[in-house]
Amino acid sequence: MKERSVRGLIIVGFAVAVLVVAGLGFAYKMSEFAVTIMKDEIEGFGAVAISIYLVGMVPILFFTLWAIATGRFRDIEHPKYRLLELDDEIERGGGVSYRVGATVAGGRGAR
Amino acid sequence: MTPTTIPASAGTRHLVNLALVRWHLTASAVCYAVSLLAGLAYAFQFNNLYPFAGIEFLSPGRVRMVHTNIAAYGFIANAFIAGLLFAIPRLTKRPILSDALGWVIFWAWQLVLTLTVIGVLAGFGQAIEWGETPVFVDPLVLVGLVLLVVNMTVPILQSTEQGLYVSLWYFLAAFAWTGLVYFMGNYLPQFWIPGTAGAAITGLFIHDLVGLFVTPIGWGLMYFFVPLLLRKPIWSHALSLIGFWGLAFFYPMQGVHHFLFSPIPMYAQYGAIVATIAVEIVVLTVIVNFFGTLHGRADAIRGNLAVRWFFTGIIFYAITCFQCAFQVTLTFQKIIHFTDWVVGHAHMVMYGVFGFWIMGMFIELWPRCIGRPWATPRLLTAHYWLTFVGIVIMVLDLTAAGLVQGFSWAGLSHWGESVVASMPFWWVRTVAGLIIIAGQGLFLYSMWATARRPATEPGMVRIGTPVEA
Amino acid sequence: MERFGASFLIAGIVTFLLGFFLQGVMPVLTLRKVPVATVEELVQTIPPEFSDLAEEYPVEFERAFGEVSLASLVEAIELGKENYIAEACWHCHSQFVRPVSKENIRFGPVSTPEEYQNLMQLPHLFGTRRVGPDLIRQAGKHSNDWHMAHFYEPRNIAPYSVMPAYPWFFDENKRPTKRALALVAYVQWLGSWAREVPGTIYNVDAMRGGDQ
Ligand code: HEC
Repeated sequence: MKERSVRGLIIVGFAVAVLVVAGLGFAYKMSEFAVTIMKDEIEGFGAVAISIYLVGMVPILFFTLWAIATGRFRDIEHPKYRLLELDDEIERGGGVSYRVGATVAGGRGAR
Repeated sequence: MTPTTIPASAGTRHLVNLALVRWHLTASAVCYAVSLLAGLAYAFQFNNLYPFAGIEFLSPGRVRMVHTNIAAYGFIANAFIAGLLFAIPRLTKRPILSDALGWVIFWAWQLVLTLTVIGVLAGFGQAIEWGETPVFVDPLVLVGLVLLVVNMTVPILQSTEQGLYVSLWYFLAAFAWTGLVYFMGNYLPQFWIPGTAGAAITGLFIHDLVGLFVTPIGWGLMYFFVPLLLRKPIWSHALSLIGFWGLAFFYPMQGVHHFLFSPIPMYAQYGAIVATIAVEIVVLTVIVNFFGTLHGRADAIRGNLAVRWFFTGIIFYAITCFQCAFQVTLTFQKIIHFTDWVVGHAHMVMYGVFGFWIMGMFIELWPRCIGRPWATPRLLTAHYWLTFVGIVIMVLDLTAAGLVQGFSWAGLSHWGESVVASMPFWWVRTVAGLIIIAGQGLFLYSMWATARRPATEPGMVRIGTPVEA
Repeated sequence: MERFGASFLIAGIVTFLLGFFLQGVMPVLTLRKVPVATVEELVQTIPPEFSDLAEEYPVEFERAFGEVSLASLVEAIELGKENYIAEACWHCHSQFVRPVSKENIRFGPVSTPEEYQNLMQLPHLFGTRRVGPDLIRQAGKHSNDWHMAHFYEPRNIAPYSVMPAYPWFFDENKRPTKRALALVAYVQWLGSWAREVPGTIYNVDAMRGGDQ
C-alpha cells in the first residue's frame, strides 16, 4: 500500500514537473507572439493566424457538444473494458475464423 | 490448432489473415536490414571510409535517401500495415474488406519500395525531404494508400461494437491524413509552389509524415497492444480522448518549425512554435495514461520482452517531446539548427520510439503468425540490450556533436574547424551504429531460426505470452 | 455507431486542412504579390564565372553548351540543379542565410523571400542540415578551377573534408563532362544576384535584426 502511494507521488511529480516547464515555455512563446503582433509595423500581422486558430476551434467545440448531447460520453470508459472482453471472445472461439455474412455475436445485443 | 492450419473452407474466412501479416512483417524486416546497411554506409562517409567510393550508383547522397525512405516506407510502413491487419479485425470483429485486395496492396507496396530504391540510386530522387521517392513512383504510392484505406476503413465503419475504442480513432484519423499529406508534400512544392512558400509546405510534409501518419498509427497500436499484454484496461479512456484531440488539432500546424529563421513569413514560424509547445503538453497526457496503466504491473517490464520494448519506446517518446519543447524555441534554434543535434533527435523519434514499438510488435506477432514460439529467447534479450545501448550512445553523441558544431559556426571559426571537431563524434556514431546492427543481426537470425522450428507446440501463441517464460 | 466512426475521418480532414491553411496557404498568400519569375525572366545577366568557364574549358564547353549566351546559361544552371538534386547535395548543404549566428558575416546578406520567387526554386532547396557550408551566396567565392578540383576529390583541396568525391562528373582524361560544367555553372550562379560589395562587409541592411 505504502509503496503504491510512493509510486503515485512519483508519477504525479513527474507530470507536474514536465507540465510546469512545458507550460512556461508555451506561455512565454505565446506572449512573445502577442507582443510581436502589437508592435509590428505590418498591419494584422499574425492576428490572422490567431483568429484562424480560434475559428478552427469552433467545429471541434461543436463536435464535442454534439458528442455530449448524444450521450457519447455517458459511458466513455466502456470501450477499454470491451477490448479485453473481445480478445477473450475471439481467442475462445478458436480465435481466427469468421463466417462470411454471418451476424457477428458480441455486438450490441449479445454483450 | 495453429491459426495457419485451419482450412479456409468455402464461405469461411479467418478473422485475421495471418499470412498477410506475416508477409508484411517479413518485408518490413528485409527493408529494415537494407535501411540499416545504407545508414551504416553513409556513416562511413563521415569517417572518410566510404565503402563504395567512386561508384556513381552508390553515391553517398543517394544511399542516404535509400536509408531514410526505406526506413519510413519500408520498415515502418510495412510493420504498421501488419499491425493494422492484425488489430483492426480484432477490434471490430470484422475481417478486412478483401483478402485479395490485401495481397494487391502488399505487392503494390513492395513494388513502390523497389522502384524507389532503383529510382533514387539511378539519380531520380526528388528534392523533398522524406519524400525522395521519385516522381514517377508517387502516383503508385497514392493508389496504394487509397486502397489500403478502403480495405481497412470498411470493417471499422461496419463494426457493431458500442463505442469506438481509442485505437480506432487514431487509425481513422490517420487514414484521412496519410493520403492528403503525401499528395501535398510530393506534388505542391515539386510542381506548383516554388521557393519560400514551397518550403513552408515541405516543412509541413516533413512534420505531418511523422505526426499524422507514423504517430497516430503508432499510438493506436500501442493502445491496442499494451492493455492486452498487461491484461489490464488502459488507465483512462477519457484522458486518451484529450490526447487524441490535442494531437489532431495541434499536430498539423507545426510544419514551419523545420525552417525557423528562414525567409518564410514570421507569423507562420511563430504559429508553428506555439503549436509545437502546445502539442508537447498534450503528448504528456498520453504518456501519463500509459504509465497509469503500467502502474502496479511494472514487473511486466522485466518479465515480458514486448512490454519492455513498448515502454522503453514510450520513455524515449517522453524524452523526445521534452527535448522538442526546448529545441523549437528560437533561442535554441540559433545554435542547433542545421547540426547533428537534429539528426540525433530524428533517430530518437523514428528509431528509439517507433522502431522500438515495432520491435515489440515483432516479438508478439511473429510467433503468432508462424505458429511457433520464439526459438531463442536469450538472443532476443541480447538484441534488446544491444539496440538500447546503441541508440542511447548514438543520440547522446549526436546531440553533443550538434552543440559543438553550432557553437563553432556561431563563433565564426573556419568551416573546417567544425568538420574536424566533429570527427570523433562521427566515429562514435559509426560504432553505435555497428552495435545496433549487431543486435539486429541477432534478431533477424532469431526470426529465421524460429520460422525453421518444427511446429511442435500447436495451439497458437497467445497475445501476452512472455518470451522469457 | 457508423456515423460516429466517420466523424473521425472527417475530423482528420478538417484538422489537416486547418493546419495546411495556416502553415501552407497563408505563406503563399503573403507572397502572392511577388510575381513568380520563370528561369528565362530571372536570368538577365551572364555572371563572369560563366564566361570564364567557356574560356577555361573551351573544347568541353563548346561541346556541351555551344556559345556563351543567356540561353546556354539557362540550360547549364537547370542541368546543374538537376544533378544537385540527383546527388542530394541538399542533404549536406543548405541554401538560405539566417539572420542569426553571425551568418551574414560568414556567408553574406541574409536571405529574403523575393529571392526565391522563381522557377529555379521549384522545388526549393532550402535544406535542413549543414555538413558543408551554405551555398546560396557561393558565386565567386572560389574559382571555377577550384570547384572542378573540389568535385573531383574534395580532400585534395581541403584535407579534412568529408564531402564525397564525384569522379563520374569527369571523363577518362579527367576532363569535365557536361554535368561537371553544369554543376559548376549552377554553384557559381547561386547568389550572383547578391554579391559582396567590395570594401564593405556585406549588405548593412541585412545586418539589421541579426543579433550578434
Ligand atoms: C557528406 C556531405 C556532403 C555532400 C553530400 C556534399 N557536400 Fe559539399 N561540402 C561538404 C563539406 C563538409 C564541405 C566543406 C569542406 C570542403 O570544402 O570540402 C563542402 C564544401 C562544398 C563547397 C565549397 C563551399 C565553400 O564555400 O567553400 C561546395 C561548392 C560544395 N561543397 C558543393 C557540393 C555539391 C555541388 C554537392 C553535390 C554534388 C555537394 N557539395 C555534396 C559536404 C558535403
